[in-house]
Amino acid sequence: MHNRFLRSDPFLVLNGDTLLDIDYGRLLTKHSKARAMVTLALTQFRTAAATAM
Amino acid sequence: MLAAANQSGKRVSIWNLSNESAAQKRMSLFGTTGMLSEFGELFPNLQAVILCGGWHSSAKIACREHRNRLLLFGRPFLEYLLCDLVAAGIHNIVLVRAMAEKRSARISARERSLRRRFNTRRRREPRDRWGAEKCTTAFCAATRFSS
Repeated sequence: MHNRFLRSDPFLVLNGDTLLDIDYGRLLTKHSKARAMVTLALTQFRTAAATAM
Repeated sequence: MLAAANQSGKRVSIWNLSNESAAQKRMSLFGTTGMLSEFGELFPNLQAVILCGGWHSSAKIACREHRNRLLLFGRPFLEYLLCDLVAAGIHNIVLVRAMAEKRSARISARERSLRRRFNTRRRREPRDRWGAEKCTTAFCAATRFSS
């Protein structure tokens, strides 16, 4: 997939069935500063709330 | 990818959004475009990949009341994501929908297990009428995206 479609480095990957309240700029800043290969943006949800959304 | 990162000795960074304060979250709501404009020089063609070839199973409870699983308050689910990315200044978006086109045996087995728990007819309907592909095609036709 990378060769065929992805032409930027880094790139964002999002789930198509999840709505986000996230600052992409800050995410990229953290990724850049950490010099990491992968940066995961995670949050905690109660199971019931997560499946309801 | 994570395994590859670990094997290569490169770090996996984790941003825990649960630690963000309400004020920070509000700032992030209104400050996205400005912060990304600073990144425009570093990542001019930043690309986003949306994985939308699944069964939209995360929304199964919310959509039980609705006729269409992929509609949320009358708008296609993908439209929220696409608008959010455009507002953040990301215009280069790839929609991955391979699973919807070529269902593997594993997905079929998952569908069978879902069928036992939910109304099958309602689940099938959006794939024919308002599935991810059709929602996206309609959205792309109305905007400057190309799918």
